[in-house]
Amino acid sequence: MRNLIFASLILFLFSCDNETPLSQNVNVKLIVKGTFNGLPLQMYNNNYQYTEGVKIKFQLFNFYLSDLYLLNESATINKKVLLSEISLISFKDIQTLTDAEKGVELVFKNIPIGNYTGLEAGIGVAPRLNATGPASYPPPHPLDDNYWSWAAGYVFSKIEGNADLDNSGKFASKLTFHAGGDSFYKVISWQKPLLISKESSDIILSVDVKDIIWRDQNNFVDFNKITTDHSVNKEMVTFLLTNLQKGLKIQ
Amino acid sequence: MFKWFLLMASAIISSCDKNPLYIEGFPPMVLSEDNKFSLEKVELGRQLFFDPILSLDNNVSCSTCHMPSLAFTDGKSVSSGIKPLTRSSPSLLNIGFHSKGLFWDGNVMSLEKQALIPVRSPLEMGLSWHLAEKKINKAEIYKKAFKKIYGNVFVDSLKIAAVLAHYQRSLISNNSKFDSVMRGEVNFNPNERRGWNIFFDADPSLPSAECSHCHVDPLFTDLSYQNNGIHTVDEMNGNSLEKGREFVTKNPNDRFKFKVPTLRNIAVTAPYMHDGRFKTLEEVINHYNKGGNDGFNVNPNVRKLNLSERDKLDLIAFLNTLTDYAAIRNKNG
Repeated sequence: MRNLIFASLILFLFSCDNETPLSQNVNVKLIVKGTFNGLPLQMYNNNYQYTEGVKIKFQLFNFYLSDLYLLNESATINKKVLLSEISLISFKDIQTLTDAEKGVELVFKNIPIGNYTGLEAGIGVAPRLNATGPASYPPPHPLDDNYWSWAAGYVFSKIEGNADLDNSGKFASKLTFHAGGDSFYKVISWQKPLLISKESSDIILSVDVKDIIWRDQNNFVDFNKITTDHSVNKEMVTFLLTNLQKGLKIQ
Repeated sequence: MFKWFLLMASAIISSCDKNPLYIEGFPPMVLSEDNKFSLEKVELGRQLFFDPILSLDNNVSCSTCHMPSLAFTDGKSVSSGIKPLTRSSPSLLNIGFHSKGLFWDGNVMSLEKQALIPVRSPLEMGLSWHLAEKKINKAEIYKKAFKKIYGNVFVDSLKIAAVLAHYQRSLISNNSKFDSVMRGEVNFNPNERRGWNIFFDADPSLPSAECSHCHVDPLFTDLSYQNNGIHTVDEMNGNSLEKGREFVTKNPNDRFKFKVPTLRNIAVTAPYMHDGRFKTLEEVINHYNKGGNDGFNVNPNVRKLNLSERDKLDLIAFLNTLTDYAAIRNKNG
């Protein structure tokens, strides 16, 4: 009987795969860098050439990431490690060039070190969270804001700013595009080796806002024709959120 | 009337074990770890709120600028304490939920810290805290009341601020017609319903007034700081001492941004804006209907609306449903 217990113990100890022991945890920093047509994305302090004769300035760009996981495809258990249930990536305070080069930073605590194979996130607010409301969250919390009470859901992404359509330098046209809705929520994953260790624990995502509003010469948001949408125009929401899903890249 | 208040407070407390000031459908109230809730503190804070003892000339109390019948505002363009101030008095109803800063520019983060400011301000109550503490410790009625709560100790500014903060947290407005409609107890009339749709941009067949981007329910403010385009370009570029949120953040992009005020009880809180420049709701709606003045940081949701006269009237009909008569008739707070 003693031999049996000993053999079981040996078997148990050697049956584990190469997953990292949970005791070795670090803080992981997610850095999201924004650009517009390759230039650092700044709120207020810069303007950007959009289409011919149209320049734009930004006051706000934000979006939600739900169920952000590190992936470990080779693991037999714990194939996913949760970084965050919900994160608001907001460029509201990214105003100087230094801010823009630094990007939006979020820190996730106590994450197991290891060799991960990628990242997964839902772009927007996952339906189970979208069915809640700000009253459920003590501030400060990512979900204490950006809520449409009349539609009982969150705004997944906001782009707000001004356009100069007449080359006057006045940026008199106001731009507000708010997109959301359960049917537009999509989970995407990025495959890339990610070493999370004591020496290296940064994950960098990038997004170019021009990619969200401009696909090609025939498919773009024409600010001469439309300057606002609050998810009333389903075609517009699909265009913006699909582009955001495709435009978010891992570095 | 105070019995009514105690009943209300007791009901609130008994409705939730964890947060003593839990209100169904509202965000969690901002509480202070160092200032545990008690009804005795609320009552003492109420007495002090209405008592001019904390002012230099014994004529100004908190309630001078925050009158219950005007939803805890004062009906003036800019308030006047010992001397005239430069901003209007914001409503204190639901102030306990304000988690992103207090005052028009958000320069303090807690009610405990806020309550320290008006007493010593030379324009508001004009009394040094040293003298204020002396007066309170001499007044038998307050000495007794503080002793009951804190024991036999010197009543300092922090204790006085703590009970004032407590009273302000008890100022709840959640019983307007709008709230009754949301609870399914009554219905909007057709004009109010149409106004609701315009306010919330909820019906694509009606014009959008873009109000609810910032005036988010249930508080009817998202507590953010915005430039809503009331200032002219000359004002923006001038040497005004008023800087709005920029005063706090030192960021020029925050110039003339002010805290989005609640629209609850808006029908009784005229005049409007941080400097009371609009006397009526009609003037406010006309400002937004025109799209406001230009400015590099004017919120882009402030845009030309093309509301008709009927749209404006219906919008006002909806705004009138935000008056909570139970809260403002409570003359003793």
